[in-house]
Amino acid sequence: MSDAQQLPVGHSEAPPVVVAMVVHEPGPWFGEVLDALANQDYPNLRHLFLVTGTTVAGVHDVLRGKFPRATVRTVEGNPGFAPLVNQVPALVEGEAGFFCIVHDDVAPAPDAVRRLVEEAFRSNAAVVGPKLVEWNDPGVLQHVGLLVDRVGEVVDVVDPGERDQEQHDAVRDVFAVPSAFLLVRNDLFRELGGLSPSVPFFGEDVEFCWRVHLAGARVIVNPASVVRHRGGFAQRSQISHPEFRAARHRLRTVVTLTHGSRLVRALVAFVVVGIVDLVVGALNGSTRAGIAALRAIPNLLAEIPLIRSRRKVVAPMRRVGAREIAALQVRGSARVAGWLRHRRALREASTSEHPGVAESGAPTGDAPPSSRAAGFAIVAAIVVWLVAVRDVVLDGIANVGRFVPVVAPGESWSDVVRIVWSGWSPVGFGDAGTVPSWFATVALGAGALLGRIDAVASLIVIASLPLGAIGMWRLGGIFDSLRARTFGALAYVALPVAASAVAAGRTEALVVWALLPWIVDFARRWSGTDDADDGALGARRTQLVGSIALVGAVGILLAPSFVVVLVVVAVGALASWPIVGGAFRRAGHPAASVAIVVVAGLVMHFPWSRRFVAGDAWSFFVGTPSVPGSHGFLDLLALGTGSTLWRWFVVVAYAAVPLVLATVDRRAGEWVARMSVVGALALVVSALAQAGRVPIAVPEPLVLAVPVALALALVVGAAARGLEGLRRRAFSLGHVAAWLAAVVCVPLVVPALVTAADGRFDQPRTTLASLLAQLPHDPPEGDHSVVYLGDPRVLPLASRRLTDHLSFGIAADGPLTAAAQYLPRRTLMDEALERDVRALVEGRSLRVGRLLAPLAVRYVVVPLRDGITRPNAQSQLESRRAIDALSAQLDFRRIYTSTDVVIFENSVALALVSVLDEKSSLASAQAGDELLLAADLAVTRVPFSGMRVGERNVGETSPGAFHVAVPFSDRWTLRVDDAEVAPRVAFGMSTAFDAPLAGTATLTYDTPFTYRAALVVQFAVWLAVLVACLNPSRFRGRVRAARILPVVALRGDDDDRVVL
Amino acid sequence: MSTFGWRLRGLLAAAVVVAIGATSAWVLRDTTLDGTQSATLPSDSAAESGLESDGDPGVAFGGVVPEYRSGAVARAWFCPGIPGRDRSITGEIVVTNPTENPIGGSLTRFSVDGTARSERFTVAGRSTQRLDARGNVSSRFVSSLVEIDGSDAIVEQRTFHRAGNAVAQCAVGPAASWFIADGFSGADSLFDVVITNPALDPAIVDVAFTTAAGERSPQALKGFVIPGRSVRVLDAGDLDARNETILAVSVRATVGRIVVGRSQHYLGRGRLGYTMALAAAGASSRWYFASGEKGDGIDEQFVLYNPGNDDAQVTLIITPTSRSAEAPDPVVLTAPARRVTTYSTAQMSALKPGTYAVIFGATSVLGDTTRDVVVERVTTRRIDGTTVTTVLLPATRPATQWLAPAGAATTVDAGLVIFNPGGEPATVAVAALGPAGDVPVAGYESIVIAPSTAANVTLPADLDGRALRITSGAPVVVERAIARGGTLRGVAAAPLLPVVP
Repeated sequence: MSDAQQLPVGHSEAPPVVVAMVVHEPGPWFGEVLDALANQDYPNLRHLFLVTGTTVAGVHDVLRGKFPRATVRTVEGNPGFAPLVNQVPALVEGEAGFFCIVHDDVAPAPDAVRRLVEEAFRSNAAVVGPKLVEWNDPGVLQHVGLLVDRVGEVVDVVDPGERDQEQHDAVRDVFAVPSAFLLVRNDLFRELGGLSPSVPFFGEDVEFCWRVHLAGARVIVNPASVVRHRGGFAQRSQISHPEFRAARHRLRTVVTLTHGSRLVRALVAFVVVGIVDLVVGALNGSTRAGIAALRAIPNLLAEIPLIRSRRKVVAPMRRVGAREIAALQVRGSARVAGWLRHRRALREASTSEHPGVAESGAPTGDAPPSSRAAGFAIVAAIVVWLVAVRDVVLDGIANVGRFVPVVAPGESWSDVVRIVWSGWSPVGFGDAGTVPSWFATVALGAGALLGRIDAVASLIVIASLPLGAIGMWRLGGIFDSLRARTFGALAYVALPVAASAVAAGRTEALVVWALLPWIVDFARRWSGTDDADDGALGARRTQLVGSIALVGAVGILLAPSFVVVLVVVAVGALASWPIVGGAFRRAGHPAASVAIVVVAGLVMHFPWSRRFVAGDAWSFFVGTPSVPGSHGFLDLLALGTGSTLWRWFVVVAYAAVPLVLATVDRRAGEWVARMSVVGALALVVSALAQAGRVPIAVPEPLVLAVPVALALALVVGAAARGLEGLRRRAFSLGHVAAWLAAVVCVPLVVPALVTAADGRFDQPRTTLASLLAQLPHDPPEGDHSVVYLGDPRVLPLASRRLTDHLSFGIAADGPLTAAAQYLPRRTLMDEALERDVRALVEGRSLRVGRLLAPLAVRYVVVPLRDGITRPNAQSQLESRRAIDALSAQLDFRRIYTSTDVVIFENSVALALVSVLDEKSSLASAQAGDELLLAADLAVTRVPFSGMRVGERNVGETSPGAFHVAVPFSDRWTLRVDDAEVAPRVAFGMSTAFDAPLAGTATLTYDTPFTYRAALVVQFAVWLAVLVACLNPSRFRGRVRAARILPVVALRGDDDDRVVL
Repeated sequence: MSTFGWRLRGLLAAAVVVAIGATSAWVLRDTTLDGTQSATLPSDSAAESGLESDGDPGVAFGGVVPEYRSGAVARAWFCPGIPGRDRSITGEIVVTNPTENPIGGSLTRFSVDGTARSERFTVAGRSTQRLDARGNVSSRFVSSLVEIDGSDAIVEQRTFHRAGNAVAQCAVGPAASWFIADGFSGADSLFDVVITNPALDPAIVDVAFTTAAGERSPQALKGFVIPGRSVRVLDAGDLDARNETILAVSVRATVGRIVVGRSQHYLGRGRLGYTMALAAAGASSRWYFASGEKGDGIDEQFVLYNPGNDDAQVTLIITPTSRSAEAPDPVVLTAPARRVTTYSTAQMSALKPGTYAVIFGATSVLGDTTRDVVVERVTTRRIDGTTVTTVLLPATRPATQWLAPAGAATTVDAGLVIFNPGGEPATVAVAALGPAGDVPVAGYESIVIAPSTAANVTLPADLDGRALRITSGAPVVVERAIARGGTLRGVAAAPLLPVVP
């Protein structure tokens, strides 16, 4: 730059420049800042200081002493940088000249302002920024303008720690300049309305410069103007989660300023870049940026009104087309570009003369090596997960064990809606008003699956794995170490519970596995992190309680035995208190969580929850019961895996428990010890059940293995944390323990990887379901029911216990669906069924077929094995005896025999809907097994098959008893032609209508209004709990803060203004 | 909490966790480490053959041994059948209702051609109904299924044959395996194995027979199909076992369940007479005979059939029913696998003439485990120049109550023989079913039977054909004599029905 171009010092025609500085609790460097300002050689410089109310009073004296003619105004509180800066136009009379917005931590070179003004004139720029250099080392560049991509991500022109060798000294257009020191035309600043009040800091400069571009003005940087900048605003202001605020502001800026035609594209890009950031960040040991970006998106919903109003404000300023603005922005992702540049800088760090290159670079560079290892582990886990579920995603989950489709083939989500709205439960023989909430959930969520209701089972499997891992990762927060929590979460996945559950189709175990860490974590957070912490209060407590309620309700929805496991956890946690010590609330809150879950289950699942308080509620909550003698101690320790290699790896890993407990520090050790006691309690309960020493039924071992796995995973996390601290501590017993613990835990990964490689968790190729496909669905001879009898672990549906080794369940005809996965409420028909099946297996009658006839039980299926579960000898013996008993029956035909399943047909079964002959009609008016045994029921007509509750079922009928094999309810109505026939009890349990004439029969179920009202209330309750979980006060605060323009109350003399 | 304090707590937690784990291991100490190996499953063949025994003879018999079990939802009785073509032979199904209330039921007759016909019947309270076992069915043999509405009636089958009447028990269910220890086709005696399949599905059976030469399994009788709800009859010719004095038969159903009876018309070679009885629905390690007799003109032979794959060691304990008589030493026999072994009390010099009871116990050759065999007693008496042969399948366990729906022979010395095999005296009451309830038999209202002794009951003539109930304070074994009918001399032996609590 030549001297001729310079304005002469003291030139009276120099445009006025008002240096506006916001002073907020400055540090000891402030004197140097003021000196630098005072030494500016610009001839027409005015000073305006806005001092926040939290700043010490002595600052005023300093300012007055240094700048006697300056305007100094004090502000009530600290309304934020942007609102304060926006007071500048009001405090300056006249629109000539420039404003120089200045932070209180910059030290400009003496000619800095002058050179900016010169360049503003020379380049006809509206905004000019200087070259910002490091405060302590002016030879290192900090900012030379900012580049911004289309999703608002900022990337510096310079690399982190880049030394100044005049390589960036050309004046250039940039998208934005930092607000630390920028010169802006007075008139334009007023026209644009100053900085955005909705972005008070973290991104206010980008937002402002973006609007400058929209207005058609230039933003340039003049590197000839040099300013030292201290930075570190986030640390000084003690703002929590600055990256989350920055992301919210960024998204707000993008959505407000992007042209409408590019808005959707920008939003999609924002999501994609967020995900990429997450992945790349994970590789680099910091996922915060990605998480912050993704978390900002739902927040957007709460800001829609605000954004709309801002867009209206901005609209008149748009003088430049969207394409031109886009051309000014970085193509692709600025974050990725920045990351790549950072990697390059790191490679060159060894040659850098600046010692803090790595630390002073991009935020991702803050991650220690351990975090990076954890990040790689996370990414590897995601890849392994994708590999593990690939076949499940492509082909769907195999119908093994309890993995069944929601509805039968040919049925759609509208059928689910019909079931829910009808109020007639399809579970068992049917029941009034106890439709499982699962159907309502599916009906509402079907849209999210794009109508693929058949994919629900696969979705549960696919989602459960990361859900459990994330829950465990959250619980690993007790370690205060990314590596420890990561390896704890990975251990939780690597332990065989989840894989065994998927392989064997144990929905309950999988769901409990996925949800238990969440509940424990919520209870932990609720109880507080240490003795000095009284736990969550206010809205946060409401959020945590709501989360416990929500997770508990979901758990009950998918796996009622979740409640039983929670009881074990609660008892174990309470029992651990005398041992572990600490505040009682931390041991007691798990118990309180159980109470919350129980109440939530009753409230959130009403009217289905009426089933919970039925006489056999315990059986309902136990689910698949433990079968005594089916597992040895090694089986229990092996957590469900049958793999010889894997089980020994798991068993060896237990050695880490005492090692870690004996050496772990208290902060993490309290919860590790507590959950270890819980796990040990679960183990002993399982062992007692296996030994037949528990007087009540308890869930199967795989379900009870979940607390054990959780405890082991925490132990692994604690071991990882112990390893992490090795370098910082002197050698001790803890070192040995940590190494030994790590050594015994590491092999767990190997079999997990092998299982993952299979792609479908070693699920059997030939499943029981494929053998059962031969059973007819809605056959023309009439609907019917199917009884399943055998070892409860092999039965593919919810079952009632006959003996320790023998259970039975009831399902509708056709393939098994979700309806069969819930134990029905015990109706008179269910009682009759249990009585009849018991008579069958005890050989007390050879005419059980007749007893089952009015129940429409046409088939009895005896599964012997399902390809995964191998019943023990006693179970096999009892199943074989059941087959013997069925073979001896006089009314049964054996229609299929294989090593896996034997199927018998009841030749005298009535259809679900049938018209009885005269003799049978008379018999149906009476009740009792003796009557049924003597009666040879005969049917004159099957009016229709494929009955659909909630619809009008129409068919031709003939005189006689129109029998419907469902529990009696006076809500069933039959119309024969135009005549309505009243229902009556048939055979003492089912429903019949005495139709005197032939005609067209219409059978309907009249849903009570109260039921539908209860459904609406239930929906509202779920919404309320969801809202509580989201802690709307957070959003309310944000929206309010963004909506309401901060009131800036200036103290002092109102006439103290800058007059240009 | 100080670091030291926490260390102590950490150690305590570790100790507690280890202790709980050890407790779990201790709880399951009786199982192997791997629970799947902790129990032994009977082999398929054993399970299918019905030979497995868990110490409960009722279970060993597949739950179909003729007995009266309380608590049944309904009772079905499967009677072995009667000859259906010979008009001189008739039969009846005796249904006794010991309760106050009338009982209904149905009688289904099965025939060779597969036409099963049912009819309803009613039995008045405290009475006995006799139903025609053959009805109008024309078939080589007609077997019956009696289904009772309720569980309180008891059923037997009675066959009236010109060579002697027979009372056969009815099974309470079909079974997979049936055994006949004593068959006889010598002198062209008529030996028929009557197989009934009462189920809807066809049954597939394997028939094997054992003669003195060993076991044979004719190919034609492997996978032999019994159509549903029908009867099949195999005679000695079908078995290719003509003129055999030793002839045991096993019938095993590989698919379905069946009922097997034995019709035997002795025509020579030392045997005369007629028997019709239910085959043994399984084998047992214990067999109890309440009566036996050694004397002039009496040829008593015990026939042991070991249907298993391992040799058995069978011990005969003979207990003279007279307190003064001295008990001979037990006799130990070896019953080779799949062979028939006979033992005649005549060859036992230490056994003095007189009456006695016999208990059979079967073990492995080493005596370490029990073995299941089938034992029958063949008694041939010469009475006034007439030869009378009777065969009895004994009881497998003592019971405190026994029922005889068809009654027992009256005016004979030993219409009933009650043996007390226990160590305590048994107080026994004999009653007949009357319109007003059980009527004690005069002189037998309360008799005390000393341990290891037996009591003979002579029934008065007015109890002919009346249902009987024998009640005891201790488990006893009861046998009965059956009048042979017409002018035929002598009596036949028949078992009674034990009542199981």
